[in-house]
Formats: sequence, structure tokens, C-alpha cells
Amino acid sequence: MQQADVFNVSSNELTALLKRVFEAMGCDQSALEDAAYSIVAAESRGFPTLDTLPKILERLQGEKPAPASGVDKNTDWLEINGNCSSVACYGSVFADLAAAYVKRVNKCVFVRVRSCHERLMILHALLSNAASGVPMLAYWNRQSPPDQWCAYLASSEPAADQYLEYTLSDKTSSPDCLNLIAAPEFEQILPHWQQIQAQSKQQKAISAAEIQHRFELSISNGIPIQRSLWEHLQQIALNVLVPSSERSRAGAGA
Amino acid sequence: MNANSDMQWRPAQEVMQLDRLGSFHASRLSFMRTLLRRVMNEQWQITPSVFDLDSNGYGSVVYRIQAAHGVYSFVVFSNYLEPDNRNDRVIAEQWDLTMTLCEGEVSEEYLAVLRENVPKQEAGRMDSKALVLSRANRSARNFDYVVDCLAKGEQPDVDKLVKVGYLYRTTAVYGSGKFGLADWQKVLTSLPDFAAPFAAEMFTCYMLREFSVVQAQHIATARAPDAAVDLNDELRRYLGIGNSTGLGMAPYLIHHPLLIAKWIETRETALAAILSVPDEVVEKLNQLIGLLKQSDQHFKEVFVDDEWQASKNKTLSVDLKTLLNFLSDQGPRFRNWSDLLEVVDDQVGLDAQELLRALLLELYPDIVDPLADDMTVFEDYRLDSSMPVKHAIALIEQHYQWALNTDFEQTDERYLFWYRSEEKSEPRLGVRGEDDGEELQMPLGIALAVQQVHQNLLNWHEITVASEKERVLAEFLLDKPEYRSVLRRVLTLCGQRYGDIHANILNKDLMPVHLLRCKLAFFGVSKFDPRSRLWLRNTMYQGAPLLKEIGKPYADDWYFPVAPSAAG
Repeated sequence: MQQADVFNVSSNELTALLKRVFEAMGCDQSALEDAAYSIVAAESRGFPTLDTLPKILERLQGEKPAPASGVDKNTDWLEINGNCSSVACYGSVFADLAAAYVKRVNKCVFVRVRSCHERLMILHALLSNAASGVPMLAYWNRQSPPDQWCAYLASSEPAADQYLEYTLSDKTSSPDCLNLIAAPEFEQILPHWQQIQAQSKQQKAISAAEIQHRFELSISNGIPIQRSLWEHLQQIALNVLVPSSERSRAGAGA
Repeated sequence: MNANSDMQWRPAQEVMQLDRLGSFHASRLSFMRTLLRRVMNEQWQITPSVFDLDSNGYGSVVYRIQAAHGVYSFVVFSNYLEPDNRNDRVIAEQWDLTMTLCEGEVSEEYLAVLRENVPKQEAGRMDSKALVLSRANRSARNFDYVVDCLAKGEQPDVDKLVKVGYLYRTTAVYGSGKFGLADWQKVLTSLPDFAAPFAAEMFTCYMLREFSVVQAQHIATARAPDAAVDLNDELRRYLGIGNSTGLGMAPYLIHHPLLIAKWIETRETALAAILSVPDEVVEKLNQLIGLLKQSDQHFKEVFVDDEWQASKNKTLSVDLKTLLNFLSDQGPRFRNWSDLLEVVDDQVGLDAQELLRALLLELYPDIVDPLADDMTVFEDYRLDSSMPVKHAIALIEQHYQWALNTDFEQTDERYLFWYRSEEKSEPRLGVRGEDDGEELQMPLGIALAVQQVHQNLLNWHEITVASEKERVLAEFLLDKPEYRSVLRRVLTLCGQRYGDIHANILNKDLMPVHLLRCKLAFFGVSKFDPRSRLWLRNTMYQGAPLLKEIGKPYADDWYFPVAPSAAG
């Protein structure tokens, strides 16, 4: 209906298209579903991830690494080698591991995923686990500018969700990792969030109310997307379609 | 509703069999019935606000709808269509009518935008003010005939309307965010008038039914202003809307198992509640016999070419006689419906068994109607990643025996594959090893996927069983993340009373029309008329009240309608 460079799509429509796009890139059913849900979950809360989609797709054109199996525990942190995988595709696997361990030990669990991409895409996995009763926070450094960090806190009460962008006052945190902290109760995770706040110089904070407002706006009006990107995605998605023929039309009852 | 301890639900292994689902009938829980209860009881005000048709019926019409919680507009565009271009398939690109249902009033400016986009359907672009996008084609057998009759001052022959009970046949009704339309979540959370499954889509079809007759009368009057008459109300009520449903509906049932399971559970809950009512068989027996007689007449007025469906209908007809005789002779000796069903189920086929259950729902509106508000579900497929692997294996073995028992070494069990064609992404069926597209098949083979994940879980469990701690799904999935999707699905559904449909839809003998009929029965359609095993025609809203009857007492008794003369 709009002819502008940017127009709105529904989250259903975007999810469906993204699934086809990731399918066309050769992702398996689990990875393509999680990737689509991850992008839509972030976009519908006003966290721009579509901008990074061309880069994700470029990476997927080559090898599609899955996270390495096995978990190391040398410190308080469980360490996973992300094997250069995409958090969009495998973030739920990492977060679910943290949630499972929380249920096993009934206390805070710390998981560090080394070597992984698109770490903002962890949002969907955080929200999903929080809704299942395991509040979780994630923090990671941005690649550009490299000294900037982001953190998201998700709880079963969306009114408690928060997002931060900050610079660290100390340099002890591990860069290029996705850090997850999960807890059995919100009260147990809150001190970790407060510690992040205390040790950092806050650049930007987005409150739960703002996140909720953005989400409601997306549901009501749709999610904005560049027409050129939309058309590019449509083109990629064509690769999951099979050329038609008289014989194939018979397979539709014609 | 509160379940009582006497309630007994039918087991999933009985209800979720595909041939039984393909024998479901419309009921008072069907979405058309539910919607019209709301429209009639809440007395929605529906009037044309723009009526701009030429003498041939081409142009545009806007209806303003004042519903209980808001204002909406039904907008229809009528354009000339070459008869040779009239095609019911999804791949068509032109139609007689195109339409949309929008939030709020439609300004002239917005109408111009709609006029630019709605007739293009999939090739146009909608926005989030619009809830539904649809199109329809004239019935080649009926439309001109009815217009001719009315222009001559005559009423059409009932026998012709019995053969084809509509003037228009809709070929697609899109909602849920497609092509820029409003997201389902928006409808669910902020538009309570349509916050029920497919309510906006069903309402669009109801408005199309109204418009179809208005347009026919308009053309007849323009042609013969002095002679033309309006269609009489009895015939008008008997006319519904045709619908053509293809293979595209089948993947929906596989992609939305939680929703389908919810619909079925609601229906089965209503039945279980009715079967637990004591001592009412005698009291309600005559009413049930009356309903069966009406149904019998209804099915006598169903004409199909398809041999398989004709045979199914013939069996139903015989079974209805059996049922009527049995109920007349033996009915009074039963104290509750449960005992009665147990006896009659042994004497009749699936169609009659399910018809009898659909009719039982008619006897208990107080039990059934409140349940209609409980047909929506938030489709959230979740995985408890802390579940021990051996527990997941046990659950799969408990709930998916039907899948695990399928022998995929047999070529017939993997004979078919599903794919999307480049022609409007239309889902199609191919034969493995013969047709192109196998490498792009859709992941609809749930039974096969369940077997694969089950075997992998067993293998993984065997390797890790010696470890000191019990291994959980999160660890399995770190090793084998490709099974996350199917595990999320099956473990969510294991928590439901009715889960996945118990069918391997890759099997050579699959009847996809069973899947279509299951969903269409929940919509509330009747007169299933398969044109092959892959698609079918049916009729919507035959017998339903007219717009002009809003405000009058509403009996909600338009199920299994019969032709006016037969009823008379």
C-alpha cells in the first residue's frame, strides 16, 4: 500500500518470510525457526536487527557452523565454544542450557559462549526462558565501537525487562563473548544487574515501559523495513520454490 | 467450564485419526455459528455507506459495520472478468469480486488506496488497518440465471439452487498479517469483535453473501426497472456462499497443531460434559430425532460427482436410517447418552457417528455456547530443557506410538513429498523419485521426524548413560541442535489432551481432503464436494439469517439447512 522506501510489515509476515530466507540459505528447521523468531522478537521491541541481516546471510553462504558440543567448567562460568556460530540460529540452545542447569542446581548459573555472532539476537531466548520461569540476563560487548557493551534483563514479569548500553569502568570482562546469567528467582538475578549498572558508565537505558510501548506499536502498526531489503529477502526466498510444470499442477489437484 | 468427575473424554488415539477428523461436521461450536450468535445477539448495525455500482453491477460498495466494540468497513470491488479468466485456483490473477474488511470508517482517500491494491490481491499491498483480503468468482451456473429470473419478475427455481446453493464462490480469504494485513495478535488483543479464530475471515464471507444478492437484484432492477423483483426471503436465506479450498489449507493443520488440538479439545469437552448429564435421553430424544430427520433431508440435497464422496454420502444416508430406526425403537430404554453412543457406534460409520455428536451439541446450548469463547490459544511451543533425556524418550513413546509404529522402510510410507510451487507458493504434492522438488520439500512429515528424534535420543542416551549426572535435553541439543524444533513441538503437544493428528501425511494413500474437511467443519461449512482427493468445494452460510433480520429474535437453528420447498 505504501510506496515509500520504508514500509511496515506484520510480524507474522516477517516471520514467514525470514523462515523461508533462512531455509533458502540451507539452515535446518530448528535453526531457521529460531533465527526468524529471534529477529522478529528484537525488531518488534525496537532493537534493530534487520540492518545486520545481510551480514548474517553473507556468513551463512559459507559453512554453517553449529555450536561445538561439550561444556567446560574451569571457573564459576560454564564455557561453551560457540564455534563462530550465529546467536540468531543457536541462541536458544545456549540459553536453554543455562536454564536447565538453574533447575538442576537451584541457584545462579553463569554461561559464557565464546566466539559467536549477532549477540543481540539472544533476546528471544531470554524472553522465552523468562516466560518459563527462569529470569535471565545477558551482556556482551559491541563490535563497533568495541568498548561499548549491551545488557538485557528478562523476567517473567515483562514490566521488569530492561536494556542498557554502557562502557565499562574496568576491563576484566571477556570481550567477544555472550555472557548469560540465569537464576531460579528474579531477586537472585537482580544483584548481578545492579552490579553491571554500578560498574559501568551508562550510555543509554531503555525501560520496561518503553520496550512494552515499542512492542505494542509493532503489533498495532507493523514493523518498518526498507523496501530494498524486503525485495532482497523476497528474492532469496524464491529459492525454496519449485518450478512449475503441467505435471506439478496435477499435484495441486488442477 | 468446570470439568466434573463423571466427564469422560474420548482418547486421542480415537479422535485424532485422520479419517475420523475427515468425517467431522459443522456444529454450534463452528466459527460461523459463533460469529453469527454474536452479530445477532449484539445487534450489529450494518448499512451501505457507499453504493457505487453501474447497471452491470461493476463498481464499489462500502458497508459500515457498527459492532459491539468498534466500527469496521467491508469494502468490495466488482470488476468485469472475461469468463475464460474465471479460475478458482490460487494461481489466478483476476476475479469478479475482490474485498477487504478494515478497522474504522473508510475515507475517500483511503478508498482510492484500497481500489489500487485490493483488486491485485497478493500482488497489492495492504496495511494494518485491514483485517482480511479476499476474492470471489461468480457461479457460472447460477449468477446470470438468478439475475435473468429476477429481471423477468420471477423467482429462481429452487431445484437449481439445491444443486448450487450460492451466487459467488470465494477462492481465498487471507488474514493474520498476510500482505501487510493486521497481525492476529493485534486482532486478538485490541479488536474484541473479531478476537476469535477466523472470525474476521468468516464475517467477510457473510458480508459477501449479503452483497451477492444485493448485486444480483441491482443488475436485475437496472435491466428491467418495471418488471424486476427482489429475491424472496426464503430463497435468499437458502443461498449461501460457495468456497473452493485447495491443498494449501492442509499444511496449516500441520503447522498449527496446538491450535487444532485446542479446537478439538473444546469440542470433545462439550461432548464429555453432555455425556455426563444423567437421565435426559427420553426428554430430549424427540428433539434429536427431529434433527436427524432434518439432517437426512439436508444430505439428500447434496449432489457430488466425486465417487468417493458419493459413496461416503450413501453410507451416511443408510446409517441415518439405521440411527432413526434405532432411536425410535430403542432410544427410550437408555438413561444417558454415553450408553446410547456406545451401542450405536457399533452400528454406523464414522460420518454418522460424528454427525450424531454434532447434533448432540445442538441439544445443550447452555453447555456448549460458553465453550465457544475458549477456542483461542497462544501458540507457544516450549521446551523444558531441564527434562531428562530418558523422560523425553518415555513421553514420545507414550504419545507418539502411532508415529513410531510407522514402517518407513516401506516405500509407500515415504511415497509423497510436499513442496511449494513457484506459482504463488502453492503447496503441492509430489511423488518421491518421480517428481521434481524433493530437495525442497516442506517439513510436514511429523511421523518421520518423530522417529528420527526418538532414535537419536535413544542413541545419545545409550552413550551418555554411564555419566555420573542424569543428562538433560539441553545437553542433547547442544550436541544435536537440529532436533530442537521437533522436540519443542512434540513435548509441547505431549502436554495436551489431543496433540498431533495421528497420520503419516507422506503415505501413498493419503487423502488430503480429510485435513481440509476437519478445518472446514470447524469453520462451519456444509456440502463437502471434493473435486479430487486434493481439493474440494463447499457451501458457507446456507440457511443463515439475513442482515435485515438483525434485531429480531434469533433462534440460532440454521444448521443442516434444507431447500425451502422441502422444508415447507
